[in-house]
Amino acid sequence: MSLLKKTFITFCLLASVFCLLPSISQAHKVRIFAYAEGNSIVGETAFSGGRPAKDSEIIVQDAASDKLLSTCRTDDKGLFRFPIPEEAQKEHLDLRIIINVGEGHRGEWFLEAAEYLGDGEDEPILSSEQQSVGEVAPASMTTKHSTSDEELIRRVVEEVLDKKLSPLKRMLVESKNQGPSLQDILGGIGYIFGLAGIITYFKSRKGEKK
Amino acid sequence: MHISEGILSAPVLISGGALTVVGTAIGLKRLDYDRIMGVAIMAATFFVAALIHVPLGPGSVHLVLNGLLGVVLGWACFPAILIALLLQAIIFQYGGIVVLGVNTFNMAFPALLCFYLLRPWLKRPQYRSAAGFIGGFLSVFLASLLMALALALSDTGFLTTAKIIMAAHLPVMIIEGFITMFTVSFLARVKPEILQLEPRS
Repeated sequence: MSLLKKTFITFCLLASVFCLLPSISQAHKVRIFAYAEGNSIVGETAFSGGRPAKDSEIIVQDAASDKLLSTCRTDDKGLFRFPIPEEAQKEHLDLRIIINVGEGHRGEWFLEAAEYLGDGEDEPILSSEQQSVGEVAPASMTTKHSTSDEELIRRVVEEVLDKKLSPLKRMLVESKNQGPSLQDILGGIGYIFGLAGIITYFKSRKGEKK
Repeated sequence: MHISEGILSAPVLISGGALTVVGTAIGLKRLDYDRIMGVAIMAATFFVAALIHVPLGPGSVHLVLNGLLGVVLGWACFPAILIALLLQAIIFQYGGIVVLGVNTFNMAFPALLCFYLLRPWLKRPQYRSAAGFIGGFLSVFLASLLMALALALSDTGFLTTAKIIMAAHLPVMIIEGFITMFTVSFLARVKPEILQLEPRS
């Protein structure tokens, strides 16, 4: 009997160690991440284990009214790309980008209008300025140059920043979406035993009264 | 195996929640004082099992172990699964609070069915392993079916969804069949009182 008990205890210990190895603890949750790149919105999807969500449906909605704006599908690497919907551009809508894997798994990403309209909003200002400057003509030639140069520099800087920052943004999202840590797991187990203790306490009090 | 938030329609959510409340109430009422810790251990097992990922098949799936809980706990699997799923939702963001009722019912009801179906077979040692395997296999199978049904009642077509979910969970069914088989025969040998095979006074 004592041998059996020992084997049982070692079995339990081994099982718990096996369960706690971080390499096997993978989640089953879909994450999605999107950002603007030029005139389109680009995004990535993956199960939090790191496997890409292949050929899944992406739904783009207006965040306020839930109105369907556009749909597309992810490719083999879980990436997707769609042009910014005209309606959204015109009315400065915040976008809610949803991935629906179809087995009951779904993820959301919220993209604010300011994020993808960044330089789009500046454009009309620039053109009207150019027009007015053009009407006044030769006298203020130098100012025209300086403003359009400034505008150009600003746009280039924004573009480069976007490009340089997008992997950083992705890293942030990835670190936020990391699988459960050892503390989480132990904490959860602790909660379960704590609850069992509370139930035992109440059941025992009931017994005493009788 | 966890349905995410924002997919199911309100009637499905409400009926799932109601059924879970009933199951949990019965489970708690039938819970003996001596068995509370056993239920907690099983709940903790279920809680951790969802982290073990099975990298087979088309989808990305994890162990469920609802069959083992059902065979060992009977009605008490409802509160055990409810608590474990609640903590999974809060800590790991699996599933969600709103869909908790549906998810609990989807996993606990097949477990309960297996408990009643397999009880007579588990009592006979020569059929015990087979019954254990069937318990593990069938409970995941039925849970997938219920999950597909819940999704179908909300929007997507039943057959296609069911096929996808079944295909994704087939490896899990087989693995859980073996896990349940070995655990049940091990428990029967080492600590038969856990399985409550003898009728209690």
